Amino acid sequence: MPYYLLLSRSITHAQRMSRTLERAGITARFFRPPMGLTDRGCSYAVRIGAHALPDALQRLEADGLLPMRIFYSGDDGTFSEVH
Amino acid sequence: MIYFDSAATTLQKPESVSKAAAAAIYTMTTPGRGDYPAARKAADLMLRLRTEAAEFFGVPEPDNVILTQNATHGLNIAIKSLVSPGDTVVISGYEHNAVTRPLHAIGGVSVRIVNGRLFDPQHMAEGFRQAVDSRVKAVVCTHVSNVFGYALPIDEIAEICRKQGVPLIVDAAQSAGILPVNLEAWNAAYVAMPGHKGLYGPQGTGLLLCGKNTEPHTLLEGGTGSLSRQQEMPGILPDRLEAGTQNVHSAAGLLEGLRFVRRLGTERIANREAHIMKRLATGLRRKGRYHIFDNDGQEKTSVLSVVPLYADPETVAGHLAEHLVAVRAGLHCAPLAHLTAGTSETGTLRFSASIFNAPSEVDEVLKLL
Repeated sequence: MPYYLLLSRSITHAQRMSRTLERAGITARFFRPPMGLTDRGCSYAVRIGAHALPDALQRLEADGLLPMRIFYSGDDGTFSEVH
Repeated sequence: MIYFDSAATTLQKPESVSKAAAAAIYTMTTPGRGDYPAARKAADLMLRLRTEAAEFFGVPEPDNVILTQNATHGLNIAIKSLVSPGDTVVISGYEHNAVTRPLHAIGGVSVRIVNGRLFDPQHMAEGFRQAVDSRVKAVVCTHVSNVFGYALPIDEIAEICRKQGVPLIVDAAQSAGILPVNLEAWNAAYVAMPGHKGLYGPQGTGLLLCGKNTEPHTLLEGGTGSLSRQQEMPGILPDRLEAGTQNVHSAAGLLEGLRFVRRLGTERIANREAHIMKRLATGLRRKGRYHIFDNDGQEKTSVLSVVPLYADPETVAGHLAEHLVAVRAGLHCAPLAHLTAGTSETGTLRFSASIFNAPSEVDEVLKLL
């Protein structure tokens, strides 16, 4: 199932993104993403459904919590960065 | 035991504090080290602590609440982030060694000391008005003297700093949990506090509140569970200032202590403790054998220092200890405060209350004095 990964600055940032989105009714679990998605080592990310991105970004921007980077994962499981 | 040494460490804690710390030992590991339940639970706990502390202490973002070992740890980070050799710093004459020793260690710092009279906040504010100008690199000021319980006019001092554009560091060691402490209202660069005094948390905990545009230097470097390939410490808070495994178990206790204080409210706590100290001061004054530093009962305080006129403070503290009464005698790690108040030769005998003290305990102590 396609989804987006919102990369965070820190675990605290990931937790706060997750909390903001969950409060808005968007399922958003934070976790450690595949190492290959970041060139700087361990990081955290929040996963949201493919349909939820516009609403999620609006909520996160309102709270000053926009992600560092965004990746899309399609049906084939590969990641592509969203700019 | 009758415990009147809460300005050092509160001994009686809410039951929820020890329960939470004990539960955390068996259920929590470290945030940022994994996705398994024990790590996630620890991460949730830390975020709750940061979030609730940010709400209570007027911090713009939970990320700006740093878990430290104690107030001294936070003050060292704050002072060493803002002050370099050759800088000029303004401090009050009531600072603890947790402020003066880091300044001394930096070396080559010109320290202007505002020696305002004890229990005379207008005099103190005027002293700061004269000492602080735009060339000053930082003002470091205790909110409440740990020796005399004197609440400095921190709102006025903060306003002076704001007008002059000088960063303010507040030592809230004796005020957090007892008086209103608000980083944003003071426009402070940093506020440091212990967890184990007025917040009723375990020893080994403290909070450093960081202002919006601060760029703190690290005291420790190491693993943060983030940006691991990068050899510089992360620039973001709280990761930048929290290297190594955190004291999560005690943080769980501290969160419960904070909640206890929030439920009661600082005004109720302050009133209760001031009532206890006033009863003690009144009783001691009647005996006529003590010099009492309490501004004749005008000052609302949780701390009362006295100088016995018949024996040295250490001897009197020893006598009380034999009767299972805990107080503190000496300089209280604040020689500067004694210089300012003229008690360097003797030190003082200090009584300090918590919300758990009862008036009947004061009466018991008075019988021994």
